[in-house]
Amino acid sequence: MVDAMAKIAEKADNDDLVLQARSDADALGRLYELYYERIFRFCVHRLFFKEVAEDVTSIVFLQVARKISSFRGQTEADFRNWLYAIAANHANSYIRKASRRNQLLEKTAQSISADCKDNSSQPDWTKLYSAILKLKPKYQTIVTLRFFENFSFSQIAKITNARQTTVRVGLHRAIKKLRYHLQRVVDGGR
Amino acid sequence: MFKNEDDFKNLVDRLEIDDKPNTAHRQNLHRQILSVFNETQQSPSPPILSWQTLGRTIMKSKVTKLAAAAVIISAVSLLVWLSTNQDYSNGAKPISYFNLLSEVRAAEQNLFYQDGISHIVNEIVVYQTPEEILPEDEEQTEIQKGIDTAHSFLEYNWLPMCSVQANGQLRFNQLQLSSDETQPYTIVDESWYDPATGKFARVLKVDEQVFFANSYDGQFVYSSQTAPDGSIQLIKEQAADSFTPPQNPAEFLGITAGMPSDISEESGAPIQEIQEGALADGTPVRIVTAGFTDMFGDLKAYWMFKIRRDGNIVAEMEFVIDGNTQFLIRRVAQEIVDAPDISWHLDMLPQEVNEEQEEPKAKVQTDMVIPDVSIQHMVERAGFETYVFTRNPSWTGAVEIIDCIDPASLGQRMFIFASRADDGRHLVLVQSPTYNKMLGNFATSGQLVYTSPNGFKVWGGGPSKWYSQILLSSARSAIKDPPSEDRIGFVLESPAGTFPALAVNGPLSDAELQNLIDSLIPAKEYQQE
Repeated sequence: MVDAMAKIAEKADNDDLVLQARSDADALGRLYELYYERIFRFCVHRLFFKEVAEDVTSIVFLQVARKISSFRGQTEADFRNWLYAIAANHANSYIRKASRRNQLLEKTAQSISADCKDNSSQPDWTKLYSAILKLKPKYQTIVTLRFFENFSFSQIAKITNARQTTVRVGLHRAIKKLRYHLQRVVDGGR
Repeated sequence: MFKNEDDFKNLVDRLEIDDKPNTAHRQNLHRQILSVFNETQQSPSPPILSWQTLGRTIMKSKVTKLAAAAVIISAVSLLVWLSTNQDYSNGAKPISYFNLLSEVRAAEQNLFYQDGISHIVNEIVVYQTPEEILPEDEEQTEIQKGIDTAHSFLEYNWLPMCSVQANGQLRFNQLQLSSDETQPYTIVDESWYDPATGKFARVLKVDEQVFFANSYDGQFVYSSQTAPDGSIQLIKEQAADSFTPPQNPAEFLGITAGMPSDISEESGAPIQEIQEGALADGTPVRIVTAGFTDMFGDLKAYWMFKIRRDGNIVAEMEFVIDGNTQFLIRRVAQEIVDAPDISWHLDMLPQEVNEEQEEPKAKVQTDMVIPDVSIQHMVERAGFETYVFTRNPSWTGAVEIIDCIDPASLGQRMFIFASRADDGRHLVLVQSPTYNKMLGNFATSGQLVYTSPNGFKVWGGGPSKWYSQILLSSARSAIKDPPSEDRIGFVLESPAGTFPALAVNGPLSDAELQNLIDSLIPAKEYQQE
């Protein structure tokens, strides 16, 4: 009971924080501290390399800082959806540049080769990421939000500005393709 | 590996991922964002949107250009196609308004009336939509959100196609083609027609699998249907007493089947260029480029028809958006045979699901267009607030309502009101989810022309001639005449927050406009007298 009340109070506080952040630097700073680690982890899950994730995380929060004064959301949930939408867009933008995508694929392939002494048929993060990277960026986003960030279909739909049914169908397709790509990676194909 | 989503989730949860952030980076970034924030607090407020600013916003990114072009051309193609094909019934004379494609279709018609059974094979090569490149500093403006939502239809490409029903009427379908593949793929469209009996059979295949079929064996009409498990089932219906075997097979079996035939200067449509050329094998052809320009006057989306000099038959048709080929449709075989390779009653169906196959690349959505529906039908199907005129203007005739798929809003419908006027000032009102999403920002940056006591606002200004041309062209089946030079268009803003689009094929006085708008009521409140 006490925990539930504490959560309600926290939610109300965070909603207020979002409203204050439009014009108050301290409030923006506190929102940043609340979400920095989550967005950084999201970027690592999307971009694999921490230094790349740091760059994109910077771009995301700097954009937030520029745009927060015109942000129309009222609640923390609104802010979170907006923040992740920006992060997803920038991660996709990074990956869509073919040269970068090829670089990521090459680097992960090297990592897999370096670890070839590990003959386990169970995929590790490097192999899984290599398979995820073969999906189209929109599917990478949905997979990451669902399985790494643990968002609901409703939340993912808001973040990606799509319908829930579109998200569900997209995830279903992505999983099928991922299974295929991951098997090839584990078997040694690229 | 993993069998399902739960399995995959378990796999992810067991992964060891180094995702711990760097403290120094965190602290540095904190300082930077506060610095940027303080700078923006001292900046002036953003400029008021104008049509020019909107234009620059749209043209800034490739995805919005593609979206704007694709949304318009898909809606236009759909609606212009509709105006071409709606009149077919029971062997009535072919619809053909104007010259070019009508000549071609007439030439193709001859192919089906040889001594023997015609066997035609076309291929549709589907290319992939290029990945959109987002601008570095994408702004999540309402305009952008609206356009991005509208372009979600880019998840698949589509072509119109017809099938024949047991009552002899054409059914207007949508051939949906996945744009999610990594490589181009080919649809094979194969048909047989016996002019002596009117029997026909048509199958569409991808990867050797049938995904659509339609036939008439002299007694029954057969149509395929995709079951929930993905298998293709066959529906067999006794041909109605009034059924007449198709007299114009080119209209639904030929390479131009489903394409607009009223391509000419008089229709206000869109021949952009005609030049001489050749196919890959050197066969001389006439190359005709036809398409609508977008609101900025650019031809971003168009069809290229390659018409053989010998015989006037279309050899290839290519659909291009923003320099990228979306489809290439080509004739690969035409011959006279003694018997079809399949039975007239399609006994190769039902077809089981291929478990090894990934998501189907192609499928057919039926009832892309349903002509002449009632107001009650519209109320039940729309999914958004729709409006009707309580009284038709004195200068127009009866209203026809057409229910069609909204190509840019998946799974939703668009409704076209068309009313023909004896003095030529035909009236068209279009209501759709896509217009509701996209027109709002355009409208409210235009000029407020009138506010009605019933809560409607009428917005003018902007490229009204451009979109009134599209609206009027879309309703050609009902209004018959091409868009006139003095046409006028408005975007309406309803009390419910929807944005119907209105076009009149001629001048409209202030009093006439006000009477028209004042007469609008929610369709659900309409009571037939």
